[in-house]
This record gives sequence, structure tokens and C-alpha cells, in this order.
Amino acid sequence: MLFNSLEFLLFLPTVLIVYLLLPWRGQNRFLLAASIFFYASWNWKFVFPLLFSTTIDYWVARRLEQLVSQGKPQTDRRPYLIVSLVSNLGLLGFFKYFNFFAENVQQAGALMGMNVSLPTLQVILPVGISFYTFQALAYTIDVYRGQTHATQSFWDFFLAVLYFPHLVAGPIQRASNLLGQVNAPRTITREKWADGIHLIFCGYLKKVFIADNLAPFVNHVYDLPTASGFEVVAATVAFAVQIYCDFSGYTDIARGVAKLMGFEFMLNFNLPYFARNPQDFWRRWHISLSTWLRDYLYFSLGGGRGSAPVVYRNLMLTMVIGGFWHGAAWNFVLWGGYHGLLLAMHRATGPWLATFFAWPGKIGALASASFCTLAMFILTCYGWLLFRADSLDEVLRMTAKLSSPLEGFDLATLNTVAVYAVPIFVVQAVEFRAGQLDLFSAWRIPAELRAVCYGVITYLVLFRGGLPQGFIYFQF
Amino acid sequence: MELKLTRTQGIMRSARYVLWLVLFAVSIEVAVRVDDWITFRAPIFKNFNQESLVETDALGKRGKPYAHYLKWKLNSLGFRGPELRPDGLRIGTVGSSETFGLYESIDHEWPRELEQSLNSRPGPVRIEVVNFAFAGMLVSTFEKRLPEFIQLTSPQVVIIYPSIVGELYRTGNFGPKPKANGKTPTPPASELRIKYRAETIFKNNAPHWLIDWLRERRALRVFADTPLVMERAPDSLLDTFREDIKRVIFGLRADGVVPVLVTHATYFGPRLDSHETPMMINWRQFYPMLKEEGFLDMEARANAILKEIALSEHLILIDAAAKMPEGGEFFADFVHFTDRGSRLFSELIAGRLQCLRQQGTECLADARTQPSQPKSPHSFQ
Repeated sequence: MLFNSLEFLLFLPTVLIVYLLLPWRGQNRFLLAASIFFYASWNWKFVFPLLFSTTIDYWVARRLEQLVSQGKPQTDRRPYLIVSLVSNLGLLGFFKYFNFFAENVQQAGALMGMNVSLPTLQVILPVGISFYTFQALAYTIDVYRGQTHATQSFWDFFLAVLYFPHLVAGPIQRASNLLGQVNAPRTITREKWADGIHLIFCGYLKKVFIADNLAPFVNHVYDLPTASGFEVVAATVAFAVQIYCDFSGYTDIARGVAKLMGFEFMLNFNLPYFARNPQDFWRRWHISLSTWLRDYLYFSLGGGRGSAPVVYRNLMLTMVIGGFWHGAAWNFVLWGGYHGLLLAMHRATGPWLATFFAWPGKIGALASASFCTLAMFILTCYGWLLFRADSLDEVLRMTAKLSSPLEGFDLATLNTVAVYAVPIFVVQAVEFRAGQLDLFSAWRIPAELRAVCYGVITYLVLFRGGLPQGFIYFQF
Repeated sequence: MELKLTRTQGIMRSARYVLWLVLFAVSIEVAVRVDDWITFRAPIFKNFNQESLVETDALGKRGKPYAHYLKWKLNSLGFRGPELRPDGLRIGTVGSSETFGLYESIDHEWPRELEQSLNSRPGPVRIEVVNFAFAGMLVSTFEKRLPEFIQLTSPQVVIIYPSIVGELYRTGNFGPKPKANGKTPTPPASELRIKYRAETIFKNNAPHWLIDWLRERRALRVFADTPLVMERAPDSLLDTFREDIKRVIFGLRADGVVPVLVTHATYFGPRLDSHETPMMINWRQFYPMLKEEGFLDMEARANAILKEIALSEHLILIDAAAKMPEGGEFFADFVHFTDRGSRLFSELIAGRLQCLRQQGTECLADARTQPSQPKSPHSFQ
């Protein structure tokens, strides 16, 4: 049941009406049932790996909590953590990476003249498995570290993991944040409803009107071996806008739906294309994943402590694993490595760059900020080319085309992308200048004018939206 | 926690919510109208629907030059499709909405598919297909327009794909034909433009059982309002149909145009299976004066007439009714094609007419001659 389906548009109001009529405990039970229904609507069998993962993590967390309360050292707790890590990563590895490894081992064997025969699994990847395993892992690691308490109620924990708005594509919630909201009655206010409705409208506008309208052009260029240099440039920028609007649109809808029920999800995107350097980008893009990787992987590897080569290694490893988390394909590894390299280079040259770009005066500061933002955007766009390409051959072909960016220039192609990309950049530039992500609230737009804007958005979404496409991040 | 409201405050708040909803709905309608104006140059304050594609003159309805509504776009002569080219062999197509194109994607209505299919075959003669049809066109309507269309386009061949159901309104005083929503047409000023679009989205996304159920409910309302219901189409209606076809053939031949007849295919094939009943009820709501059982009988009799005429007049006949597979893969509803259906239908015709590509109309010499004088026209009215 996709957020952009008629089924969801019937499901959501039904859930909301019943939810608002129930007392807190009843709300939790009902939400759990609704979330199971939501998840099972893809495939009822998907519920079992999730149940397996949450049962183990619940039990591990309870044991860890006991050990923490008994004052046992981390070495005593570690075996339980390993159980959680093995079960979650094992689940992920089995469903997501087994065939990838099998195929690569076979190919490597063939290169060395050996006939390695490994079975391939005929299994469907459960929707959202990458998200819920990371969320469950964060919970057990937090309890292991003594940073949060294990919950007493299995059903509350199950609901926190399964809660339908964030289940399939995040934001990856921290246990301390979401469990706290599950364990206590939520407050629903008119302000929360206003924010929630605003986020839902913005989300659908981004996803259905912008991302889905750009998707056919991007797909066409990536499927066209004879695409001109200009088409490749246009498709690369278009994909940058598409993936942002697709994913942040999903997140907006998820956050909006959660707000209608009194929940608060963490911010996942903060104007990422206005980042001035790689570090800044990862503070703005998919924040719930980047902070997860930082807190549970990068810091565990040693973080920024140690010699420069060790820090660069930590950055590279974190980003390569982060890339691999996205999908079992070499282009995701390449994309992760590319961002790791950018981060390492920025770390190495950061002080020098800061001095170099410290141009005097207001105009100088604006010019240097604009230059850095544009440069970072171009670097990010190239990263998206690595991300979107279906094979390494395609990466090479598209990269070669980028060397002649004006080859085959035509206004129609420019118009196809600009008509969707320019408005979103203009709005975000205003938001960036204002330092506000919600201009309606910042500018105190009256409710009557909001109603008109939402009417226009509804029109664009329903009657001018692109052909329905799945959310890009659902495949992960 | 919010404070408890007094009664007056509660009423005021409710009034504000209603105002927001009204503003919300009005802004959607305004957005549709502004978009129509930008895209189609449609008038903002006047009605804009499928009726915008036709105009009426002394001879009746015809396509409106340069009209553009959603995916339907007419050329400077009022025909769906591109502007005419000066060269090549020209084929005209006559029919109702099935020929004009309803559910097919842009440029996939069967006349366009036919042009592509013929031109993809080997041969030096470039073929151009002109779509004379519009929704609701009867054979008698075309007959009146024949001299005008021939003068405008000079076709060498005309393919006639006649639909008989539209003739039912000539059998008695049944009032205006119901619209898709089961009601008789409303005055243009009261029509909301979002309504049609919202209905389309609903039809494309709602579960089939729900759509069937709603259609049946609407159809039953329409049937209840119909005073006269026939078990079977009267012979006089079929006789009129026969004479109309003959007059068109005579008119075409008189101008040296080769007529080609195509039997009418439906979703149902020769028999109505039990699972096809909801679709038949859906069809009948537009022609409630005839019982469901009468439709396929009427179609079979009309097709028999076409075969009989083709035989007696030595015309080329393409028996699409026998050759088109039935069902939802090829028909989007009772008679209108899907893209796939349209392609298959055009292939049937192109297969029979492919000699045009190599030899031009010389290969149809037998069908060009032997005109016969039809009976004098008469009407049921």
C-alpha cells in the first residue's frame, strides 16, 4: 500500500477516525493492528521476519537492561549485543545480500578459472527491511550502552518498529524518541494538525507532481545509449531533483501522518542542495541515516580520533557501508565510496578551503557561499549519476558524455527539467534565506490562504501528477 | 489541552472550517479552469467538455476546427489528427466514438494506427488516413456531410465502421441521450470541470467491484425512468440502417471513392456470457429503451446487413465482428478499444488494404464500380 495509492487514501482517514475515538492504550493496540494490516498489504509473509527481528531485540534489550542494572561491565553484555547484531544483520544479509555475494563469488571464481556453484535464493526482499533492522539495532545498542532503558512491553516495542508511517522508508527513529511517545499518551493539538496537513500536502506535491513527472525523462535518458551530453546533464540534474522530491516527499507525508496522531518524527531533510561542503551535505540529507551511521558505525570505528589516515579510513568505511546499505549492487558501493572520498578530502583540505573562500565583504561572502553551494551541488549530482546507473558500463558511458555538456543542447529538454526543478529551487532558496523550513508558518499565512494553496496543490497532484511510480527508497 | 468552547465559539469555528473547505474546493475548480485556459485556450467562465469538440450547423453536428479538449485535438478542418498533407493516397474513416477514439492514448486511435500500419508495409504509395468520425456520428449524419467532406479532403477510399446503437434514438421519443453519470445532460453553466476529471481518476483507481456496483445502481435509475422498453430492435430500424448505408455507398461511388465496410465488433463477441452482464448493463444505460438481450441480436442483424450489402454491391468487407477477440484486453468498455484493441483492429483492415500501398486504388477497381440506386430516404420521425 503506497502512500500515493487510492488504498492509502482510504486507509488513512479510516485509521485516523478510529484512532481519535480510542483511549491511549486502545490507540496503541489499534495502531499495531493497522500497521500489521498496512505491512501485510504488500505480502503477509513479510510480517514474519519483522516479528523475528523484534522478538530477539526485545529479549536482548531486556537482558541487557538487567545486566546494566546489576552493574555488569560491557564485556558481560557484549554476547547479547552480538546476538542482536547477528540476527538483524543476518536477516538483512540473507534477504538482501545473499544473491549478490553468491553471484560475485561465482564471477570471481570464473575469472580465476574455477567453477564455483552457489545456489541463488528465490525470495522477495521484504519491504523496509533495511530501515527496521537499523532501527531495531539502534535500540539494542542504546540499551547496551546504557543510553536508554529497555521497554517492559513487547507490544509497545513492536508498535514502535512497525508503526506504519515510518516502517518502509524511515525516518529511522531512535528508540528513545519513539518508544517514549508510544509509552505515554500523545497530545493532539490544532497546531499539530495544521503542521501535519501542511507536511502531507507538501509531500504529495513533491512526490506526485515533481518526482513522478521527472521520472519518465530520467528513465528515458538512462535507457538511451545515444543520449547527448546535454541530455545526460539534464537527466543528472533531473534525477537529483527527482530523488530529493521522492524521498523527502515520502518523509514529509510520514511526518505529517505521524503528527496527525500526535507523534513527532525526526527531521530527515534540511535543504540538502544548499550544503556548502560534503560534511554539511550529510547533515542535511537523510539525516536519520547519516546520524545513525555516525553514532553506531563511525564512532564505533573510532570516529575523528586518531591519526589522519585512520580518520580517513573510518570515513571511507562508514560511507561505503552506508552506500552498500542502499542496495546490493556495486554502483551503491561506488556511490558510498565517492562520498567517503569527498568527506575525507574535505577533512584534509577544510582549513585551507575555509581560508581560501573567506572573501571580504558582504558580496564576497555571498559569492563564496554561492560558489561553494554550486560546486557541492555539482559534486552531489555526479554522485547521483553513480547511484542511478544500472551498471559500471553505464557509469562510464554517462561520465564520458559529461565532458561535452552542451552537445545536443535543446530548449525543449531544458524546459522539461526546468519547469519542475526551478520552482522547487526557488522556494528552497527562500526557505534557506529565511532559515525556515515552513514558510507558511514563518510568514503567518492565514488559514484561508492556506486552504487556497492546498486546493491548488491538490489540483496539481491529482490532475497534473506524473504516472504513479513507486517510492525510490522503498526498494531499499 | 484546548479550552472548552462556548456555543457561539463552536459555531464560529465550525463556520470557519466550512469556509476553508469551500475555499479549498473553489480553488481546485479555479485551478482546473486556469490550466484549461493555459493549455487549451479554453474559456474560463464558459463550459468546456467533450461537447467543445463539436459545433452544429444546418446539417447537424461536425468537428470544430482547431478544437482541443484534454487528449483530443482536431485539425483546421475539424477532424481528429494532424493537418492534411498534399500528397499520397487518402483514406477517410467514418464511424462513431469507436472511430474517433475514446480510451486509446494519443495517436493510438485506430485510424492513426491504420495509417502507421499501412505505411510500414512495403510499397511506394504514401497513405494518409483522415478521421471523419466524431462521438455520436450516425450513418445518416455522415451522408449529409458527404459532399462537404469529399470536397475538403478528396479521399480515394472511405472505410465505414457503422455503429447501429445510436439509431435507437430514432425509434421513438426517448428524450436526450443520458450522459455517463446516468442523468440527462444538464445546462452547461452548472457543470463543474473537476467532476469529470475526478470521475476519471476514480474509474482508473477504484476496485472493479465498486465501479460495477455503482454503474448498476445508476443504470437501474435510468431504466426506471424509461417508459418504453423493447425486447428487440424493430425491423424498421434495421431497414433504415440498410438504406442509410446504401445511400452513403452510392454517394461515395458517385464521386469515384471506393467504400469499404467493416462489421461492428463488441466486447461481448457473438454471445453474452454471464460474467459480461455488468458491462452490458453499463452499455444499456445509454440506450435504456432496449433490453439487454436485444443488443447483441441487433448487432448481429446490423452486421448481417453489412455483409449482404457488401455481397450485392461487390464491396470489400472486413468482418471485424468475427475476427476481433472479445474481452477487456481489447475493449475498454462495451465497444471502445484499448490501445491493444485499436492496434489489432487496424491490422485487420491494413491486412486487407495493403495492396493500396503498392498499387494505389487500382487494386480495388472492382469495388469502385457498379453503383446501385438506393430507395428514397425516409425517417421514423
